Amino acid sequence: MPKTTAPAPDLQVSIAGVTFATPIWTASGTAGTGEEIEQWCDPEKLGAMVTKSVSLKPRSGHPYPRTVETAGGMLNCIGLQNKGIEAFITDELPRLQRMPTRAVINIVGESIEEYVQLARRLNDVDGVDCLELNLSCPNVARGIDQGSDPMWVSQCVHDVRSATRLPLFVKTTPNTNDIVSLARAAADNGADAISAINTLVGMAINHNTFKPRLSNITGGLSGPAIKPVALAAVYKIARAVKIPVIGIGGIMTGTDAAEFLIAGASAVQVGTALFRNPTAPIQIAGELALYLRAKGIPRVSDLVGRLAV
Amino acid sequence: MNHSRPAALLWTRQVARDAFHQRFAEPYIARHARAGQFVHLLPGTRHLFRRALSVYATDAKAGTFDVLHQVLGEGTRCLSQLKKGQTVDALGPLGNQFPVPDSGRRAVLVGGGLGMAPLRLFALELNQKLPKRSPRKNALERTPILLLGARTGSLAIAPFELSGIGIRASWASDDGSRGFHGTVVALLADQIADGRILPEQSVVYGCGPEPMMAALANLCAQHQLPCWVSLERSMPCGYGVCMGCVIRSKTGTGYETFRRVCRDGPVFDSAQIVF
Ligand SMILES: Cc1cc2nc3c(=O)[nH]c(=O)nc-3n(C[C@H](O)[C@H](O)[C@H](O)COP(=O)(O)OP(=O)(O)OC[C@H]3O[C@@H](n4cnc5c(N)ncnc54)[C@H](O)[C@@H]3O)c2cc1C
Ligand SMILES: Cc1cc2nc3c(=O)[nH]c(=O)nc-3n(C[C@H](O)[C@H](O)[C@H](O)COP(=O)(O)O)c2cc1C
Ligand code: FES
Repeated sequence: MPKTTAPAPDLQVSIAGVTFATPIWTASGTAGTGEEIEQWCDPEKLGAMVTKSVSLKPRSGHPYPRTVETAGGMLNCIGLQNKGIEAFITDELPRLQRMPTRAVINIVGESIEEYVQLARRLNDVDGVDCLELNLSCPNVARGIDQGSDPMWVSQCVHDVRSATRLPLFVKTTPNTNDIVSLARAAADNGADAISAINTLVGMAINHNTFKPRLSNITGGLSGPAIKPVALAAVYKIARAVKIPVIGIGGIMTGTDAAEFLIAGASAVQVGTALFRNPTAPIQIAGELALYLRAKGIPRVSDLVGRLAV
Repeated sequence: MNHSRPAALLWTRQVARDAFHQRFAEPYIARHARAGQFVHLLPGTRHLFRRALSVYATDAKAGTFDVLHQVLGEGTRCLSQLKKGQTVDALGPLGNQFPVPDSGRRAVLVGGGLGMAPLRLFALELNQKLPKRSPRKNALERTPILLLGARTGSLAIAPFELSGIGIRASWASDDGSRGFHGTVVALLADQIADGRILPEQSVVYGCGPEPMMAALANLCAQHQLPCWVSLERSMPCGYGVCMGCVIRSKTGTGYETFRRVCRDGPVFDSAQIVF
């Protein structure tokens, strides 16, 4: 093999004043809270560990079946099963603090008040590098996805912003006719970055039994099937807001990640790919480095927003 | 760091209609897998997810592991059609193991259909733990009892290599064409009733379809017989991160209402499970 003299491309990125070793992170709900992942991914080579959504109180989640494979993707209705913020802080945070990677803690509430309480609680403890708000929790009482209402998003982000000093990422739902308005609402109220996208509402039916394949009837679609939708969302959001965008949706390879960066993302998260391959983020980062080298691009940040139109 | 590994197919044997016994070369899994654990195989690039299969046999020296599977859908069909030398990407071994019986208790292994696979490996492990030259009576007491069930005699797959070490299976078939006429759980009830199996000196290990596991749990509860069951769930990840593969726990509340079959199991104390 010929020796290459070009230095390895620089994968480091900086968002909201926080540096990340690589722009390839795990996505919330697809990597647990670190205990499993640290057996498969060298934390030093992982840009960040974004944890499973944590709520104020423990949540049991929905009954089985919670997932189903679909063409090019999967549906899930896990139902946010998590042990609640207090147990999270005692059981999980110490390990995350020890792991040599960034800890992005994803929180979910049923009301603005709950988001504020969660943010306050995490403001007081060590080991949290950034907060990510999962705004895709359907409000049980009102029966609608409050995260698709720009007014609600404005208020929620505003109130959380006043409650915490932590860098604040806002994860938007694609289940709206105007994801750009949601991103603007978050940016205008002090968000440090927009994470896009969460899963798309979908459904699968067993035509033999006439039954839905998920216990909760509908679920969230993820995986390669949603990548085009996610790319378009990232592209539109990146043009509309001044803060960084974190791209999510169907990323399986280094070139998938590159496409999100070209569309305007400053970093990406890898979700469903982790199920197929527990070392996916490390492999994808390696492939991205090879891609950059082949293109003669020395720094990954030079790729961001390079769409040729 | 752990990672997935390519496992090369050595051979495939058809053992019944739609059922295949396959041997793969992969030294890490061969060395580390214990009875009850599973491998998570990626049969082809068309599949997003891996397919979970119990480890049926291992040979640490030769560096091989075996699986026994039924063609159910596309994933298992792809596996069965692999050519010698082709590889599948394998993750494993994953999950927990069958716990060894407390002293003074004899293992009763109850398998339905392909559920026999992990029990066969467990029988072998238990047999290897038996003292080589202990008094005959003692050794006999501790030789595992194997009860196997099939829908019909022609689908009964004999676990390979076990008869060679003196472990023989008693059979039950739903249509009476082989052995006991009835389910394998009914066979266990029968053997308890006639005193061949003593609940206070036994511990049951079950693997098979879920309705059978539920019936087994029920029977064992009636006789205060400890019972471990190996369960199946659709497993997107297999290593504990997705929370997809859950089973309802009898004792857990809140977050612990649902346990992960891939990581908290697949082997559970049947008294802890809501079927
Ligand atoms: C721990 C464990 C051990 C297993 N051991 C064996 C074994 O030794 N021999 C054997 O024949 N089978 C075993 N199974 C079941 C085996 O995983 C399924 O039969 C297989 O995944 C079906 O895949 P398919 O593509 O052929 O079928 P399809 O029906 O096309 O599969 C569709 C989807 O459903 C999932 N799925 C369907 N049925 C099951 C099931 N019963 N369990 C888990 N996932 C399912 C598949 O993984 C896939 O995601 C085991 C399952 C688990 C969880
Ligand atoms: C099983 C599963 C669970 C998820 N749980 C969460 C969650 O708790 N919080 C959250 O913000 N997003 C959650 N997501 C969404 C992912 O973080 C991600 O936005 C989405 O899956 C798209 O990325 P992907 O195609 O790479 O999976 C979950 C996704 C899956 C598949
Ligand atoms: S299969 Fe993902 S947690 Fe068990």
